[in-house]
Amino acid sequence: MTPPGSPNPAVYRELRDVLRRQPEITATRSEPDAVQQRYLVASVAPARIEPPTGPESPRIEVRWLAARDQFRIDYTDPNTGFHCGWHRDDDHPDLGATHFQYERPADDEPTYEAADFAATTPPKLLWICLDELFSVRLPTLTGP
Amino acid sequence: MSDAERPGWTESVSAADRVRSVATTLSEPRTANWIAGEAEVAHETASKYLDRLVSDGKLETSEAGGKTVYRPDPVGQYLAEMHSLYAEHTADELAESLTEITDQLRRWQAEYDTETPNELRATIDETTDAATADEYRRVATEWEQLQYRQSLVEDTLRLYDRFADDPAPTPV
Repeated sequence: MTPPGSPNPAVYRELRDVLRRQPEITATRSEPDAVQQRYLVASVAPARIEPPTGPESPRIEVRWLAARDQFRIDYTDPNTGFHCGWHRDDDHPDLGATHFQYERPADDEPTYEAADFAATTPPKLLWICLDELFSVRLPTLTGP
Repeated sequence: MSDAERPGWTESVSAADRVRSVATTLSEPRTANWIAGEAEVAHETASKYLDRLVSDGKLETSEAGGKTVYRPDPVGQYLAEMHSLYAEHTADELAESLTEITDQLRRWQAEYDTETPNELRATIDETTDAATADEYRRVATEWEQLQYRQSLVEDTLRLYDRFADDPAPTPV
């Protein structure tokens, strides 16, 4: 039997399904290609987010190391240089398992906050982060 | 788009799909009750779809503390992934990716001067600073994930040899 913690291809399959279902997302792909599947990239329609941006499409990157229970969900807007993301890694143990970070163009350094979710499994966690990204974080952090 | 207009998980994804997405991505065995809670469905609904996923080979069951627990079936998931690689890529594409994968695995071996991900983990000791230890653990996990893709691609390429006379299957 495969040992616990071994890679599970269903994780990226289900995460991609979550990305595809977001109305703001126009395209998703695996990088560096569909065979290697090291991480996922999604393109965001610049006019479908609040506040709108453009002309280039913002980008979402999703990396999931299920065997280590770690992930990174990153949003970047190439038009403004805004970046934010949810990371579950060992970078900020003072903030708990998962933190949210953002950096606006005028900021000298990123701001970090603790993040906690009412979800355990990867697809549900991603859904919650994307919902918060589009409905709360972008309007608040990139708005006027 | 305001908050109210964004449909939530339970509005956008059917109960069957929520149970599947939760159950097939579990990192540890869970009961039907736990899965029902995470998927936000009734217990009976979860049980119905879980049984279907078990008979489709996507999940396997075991007993823990007198209860049935579910987890992704590693063989079922491996075969499903092989099938989609076979259906969605030509043998040439797979061979090209396999070369890139092998090159990356060699780069890690050279960069960290170790043969395997476990050897890389074993180099971490009390003298390793925290950032380096974290990098080694992260790379070791990515390394294992890529080795898994390498096995998948190698096994899928064998299907092309075995079914050399068959036309390529239609993408699913």
